[in-house]
Formats: sequence, C-alpha cells, structure tokens
Amino acid sequence: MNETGQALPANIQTVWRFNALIWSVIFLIGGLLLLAASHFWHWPSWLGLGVIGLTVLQLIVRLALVPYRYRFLRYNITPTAVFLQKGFFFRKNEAIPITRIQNVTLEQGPLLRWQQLQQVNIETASTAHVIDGVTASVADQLRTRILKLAQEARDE
Amino acid sequence: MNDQPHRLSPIALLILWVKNVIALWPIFVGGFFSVFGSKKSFKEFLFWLGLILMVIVLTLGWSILRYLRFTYAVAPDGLTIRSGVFIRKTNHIPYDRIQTVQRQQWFFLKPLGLEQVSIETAGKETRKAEGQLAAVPTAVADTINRYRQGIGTEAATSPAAETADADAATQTRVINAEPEPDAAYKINSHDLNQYALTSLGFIPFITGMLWVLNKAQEYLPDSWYQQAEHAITGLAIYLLIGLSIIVLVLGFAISYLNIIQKYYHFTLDRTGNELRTSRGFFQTNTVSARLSRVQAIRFKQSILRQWFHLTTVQALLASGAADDEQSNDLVLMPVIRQRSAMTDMRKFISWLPAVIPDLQPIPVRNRWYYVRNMVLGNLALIVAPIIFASVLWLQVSWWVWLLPVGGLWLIIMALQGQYAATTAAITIAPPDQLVIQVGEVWTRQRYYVRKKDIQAMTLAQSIWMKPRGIAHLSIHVRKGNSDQTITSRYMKADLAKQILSWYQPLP
Repeated sequence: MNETGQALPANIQTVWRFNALIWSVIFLIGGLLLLAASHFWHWPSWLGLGVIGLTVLQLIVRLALVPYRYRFLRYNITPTAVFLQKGFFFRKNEAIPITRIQNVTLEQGPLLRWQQLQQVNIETASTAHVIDGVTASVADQLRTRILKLAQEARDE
Repeated sequence: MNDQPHRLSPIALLILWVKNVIALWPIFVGGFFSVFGSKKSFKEFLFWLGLILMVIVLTLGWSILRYLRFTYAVAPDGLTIRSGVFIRKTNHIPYDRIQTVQRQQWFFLKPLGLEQVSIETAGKETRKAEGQLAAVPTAVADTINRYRQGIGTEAATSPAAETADADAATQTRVINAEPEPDAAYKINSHDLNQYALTSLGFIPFITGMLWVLNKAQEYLPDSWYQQAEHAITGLAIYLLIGLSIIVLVLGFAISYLNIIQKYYHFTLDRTGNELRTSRGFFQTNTVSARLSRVQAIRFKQSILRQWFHLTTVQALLASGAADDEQSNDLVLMPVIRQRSAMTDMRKFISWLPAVIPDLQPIPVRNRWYYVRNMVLGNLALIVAPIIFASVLWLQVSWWVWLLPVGGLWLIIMALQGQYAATTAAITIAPPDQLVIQVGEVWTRQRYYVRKKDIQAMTLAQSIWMKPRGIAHLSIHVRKGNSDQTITSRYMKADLAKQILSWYQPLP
C-alpha cells in the first residue's frame, strides 16, 4: 500500500517544531534546577547534566524527524470509513468504519491557533484516533461529514 | 415491593461504617505499632487511643448521615436513587437503559434475605457502577429484573399504575412471571472438581509462599544458623525437602478450595436476550447482562487444560460489572469439553459458528520471530540489567549464580515464544465473524468477534517485513470501559490485507 489520501497542511510542521521546542525548554528548566540543586545541596551533578543532555538529544531527534513524519502521514475519509496512515519504516494503517464512530471533537491549542489549524479527535466505543492538524474550514467539514455519515449509517 | 422511597436495610449502615473504618487502616496499624511495638510513654498510648476512638466515632456519624440521606424507589418507570450529605443527588435510571445487574450476597446476609445490588447503564467513563444498593431485600433486584424483561412495561405506561395499583399490578405479574429460561446450565461436582484440579492458580500462590519463606529465613536469629552448622547437614536437607512439600501441598490445597468456593453452584442461563450467571459459596454473585453487551467470546485454555481437552469460555462485556473486578470478563462456562464446546455454547450465544472454523496458522518460517522477540526482549529488559547491576553492586559470586539462572530464563522464554508462534492463528468465519487465536503466558486464547463489535483495525508493517510479505494485524474490541487489542503477529501480509478489506473495503 502506497501513500493514499490527504496530506496534512504543510504548516503543521511548524507546530510540531515549536511543540518540540517548548517541551525542551520545560525539560531544560528542570535540568537547570537540578544543577542548581547540585550546587546548593551537593546533589550529584550528573543528574542535571544528564537531563540537559537527554533534552538536547531528543530535541535534535524530534526536529530531524518532523519532515519524515509529515511526508508519510495521510488521512482519507471515504463515505464509509476513516483511514489513517503513518510512517515509512514502521508503517501503520488504521481503518475506522464510520458506523463505529461515537464522537468527533475538534481541539485547538495556542500553537494550532497561531497556525490556524485544528486537531480532529475521532472516538469509537473503545479507541481514540487523532488527525494532528487540518485547516479550520476542513476541520468543520470533516466533523459535519463524519457525523452526518455516522448518523446515516446508524439510521440504515 | 412498592414504588415508595425506601431506606437501605440498617445492615447497610454497618457495612458502610466497616468499609469506612477499613479505608483508614493506616491509623490502626500506626496505633498498633506505637502501642505494642516498643515501650512508649503512657501519653503516646492515650494519643493513639484517642485518635482511634475519634476515627471510629466520626466515621460512624458520617455513615449514619449518609445512610439517612440515601433512599431508593423502584417505580414502574425506573429506579430512583437519592443520595448525598452536602450535595444532594437524584439519579433516575429508566429500566431500558440498564445493561447489567449484579447481585452479591454474602453468606451471613442470606438468612436476612439481603444482598448488594449494582446496576450499570450504557453510559461509559464511570468506573463505579451507576447505582449501588449496599443491602436491600432480594425482592428489589427481582422486581428490577422483571421490569427490565418487560413484564412490568404495561404497568409502566398506564398512568393508573403510578398509584397504589402499581404494587398490586406487579404482584399479580409476579405469579405468572419468571419465564422458563431458553437454555440453562448447572455445573456438576465432577466438572467443578476438574476445573479446580487443572487450575494453575497455585503457581503464583506457591511462588508467593516461597518468597515469604525466603524472607523469613533472613530474619531467623543467627544462633539458629550456628546450630544448623553443627547439626548434620543431611538433616537440613530433609528439613528443606519437607518444607517444600508442605508449601506445595498447602498452595495447591488453598488454590483448589478457593476455586471450589468461587464457582460453587455455578449456573448459566439465557432468557430471551438476557444472560445470567450465578456462583459462589461464601458470596453468591449473580450477573445479568444483555446479550447485546457481549463484545466477544473467548475460549481460554492453559497448556494444562489443553492436554486434558478442557476449555473455559468467557464473555468480554462492554460493562464494568463482571465476574472478576480486575478483568471485566464474565465466565460463561468454567470448564467444558473441547469437543462439545461449540454446540453447547451456541445454546447461549446463538451467533457462534457451529463448528470451529479452520484457522490459518502463521507461516512456519515466521515462527522464529516470536522466539527472537521473546529472547531479545527479556535479555534487554530483564536479564542484562540484572546481571549488569549485580556486577556493579554485588559480589562476583552473585553474578556467577545469576548467569545460569538468566540463561535458563531465556530458554524458558524462547519456549514460550515458540508456543505463542505455534498457537497464533486467524481466520474469517463467514459471513461476519473473525476468529483470532493467540498464545499468551502458556495459555491459548481463541476470540470470536463479530464484525460489528470490532471498533477499529490496524495493519502494521515495517519496511523490512514488506519484502517478506509479513504484517501484524490488530483488532480493537471494547472491554469493560476500555479497549482490548488483539494482535495477530507476523502473519501473511496478503491475508492481513484480505481481512482488513473484509472489515472495511479499502478506497
């Protein structure tokens, strides 16, 4: 199976990058606090240094993976199902029939709002699936479409 | 049973209070240690005594308040529960929304005709049962069940029934109520015995006891060791063997008796669209559930029961009220002959296939992946860290011991991987069922799932699996209030894609 379906808007990469940055800053502060603790209370200094080192490492890895993640992420909404696909080295295809969908919610954090994107959460009776970010108009379309299809499927 | 608001039986007050007190056990343990642990001052003794008395009095007061504020009414149009001390809550549950009714009766409540009733509706996200009546007469659950089975529906719709008539209306219906079940099963002593004897429940128990024994040894006084050194070493060995035999026998006996008491008088019956199981010696536990709540049927066989051709049948329910608090699985048949399992179970679950479909095992050349993953996983996560840690922090003599033990562990895990690989199988049972079999911890589990109960399906394939035509296929089923994922690993990619498009035609 090759990549089929819609790619996400390109500026979702900005959101992912900033998201990675913000988390790194939080971890960095934690690491600095640990360093301060090792200065004042003689905690072992490798704790703080380790946290800082790991933070930098994970930041680099996450930033490097953004284009990869973007390139191979696809969603596809047909009249009967939602299909999600991600990854190239470890490819995963998810199929969620419209009839199983219980709930669709749209979510927008500050980063997504800044980029004018919305996250779409799809819930079934047991699972939760996420489309990381689509433009607001597409999100609304998606929600009404999914819910309408789900309603029709249930009425049949 | 009339539809006026009732209080729970006063016994409920006692139960509530005892539960509250037990919840505060750290205080009692603390008090116990401070009083008996060492010679403490009289003042401290008084402090703890006061604290404990205060806890007892306060919880009693709180329990009385809660008890007085709690009423329930079994009306024709639904069950109404009012509760709450500061924040008053009224919970009205119409009968058609009730999905499961669980009744639990301790032996000491039997002569009083009381039991605990837990009621659950289709609403999810709540861990606790929506309606819980701690101690009510058994007539309450009987009435609820009659209303649910639609026997009381006439009464519910006619306005006249809302008056005092309701009582009489239900009363008369009681007589011609209790329809004959469409199918019924009652365990016999031979089956129960077989079930208990083939249980592997003694293994964790014995492991636990050996651990305690080992710990106890550490705390034995040194003089004991010195004496033992002087004594003939042969005697110590006899002692060790004797102790091991006692632990084995005791562990087996306790686990045997526990299962006997748990599944004592086990019955399963089906009336219309309602399944009911009942069991237990000390506590009678009855669960009534709508058939529509059954998400999947699981045939479970430990390797021991596989040898004896016995199987256990469980239902995965979309409800928290179940047999076992931890697992949310409802045992439908504790033990059944493998040969007659399908025909016998079809009386209760009509959608099960008449014969076991031919399952497609995973290709023989893919089996070694299971072994490889088990060995590498255990090596990386358990064996290597332990040996590494022992090299760093313990004496050399330790890791000389740990090395062969770790090796043995890896061999056992490799065998487990081999078992899982030979057990794993999958097939579509036309027209609308998926049968998937997995081998976990020396137990074969075969799931029968209808297409409509599969919430989502995932196909995973790494770039290295692609040229070899291998894939993983996972299905998601609702279990309790959460998700159960069942995965068929390293199966043929073609078959996986075929099943995926059977489930949901691809675009």
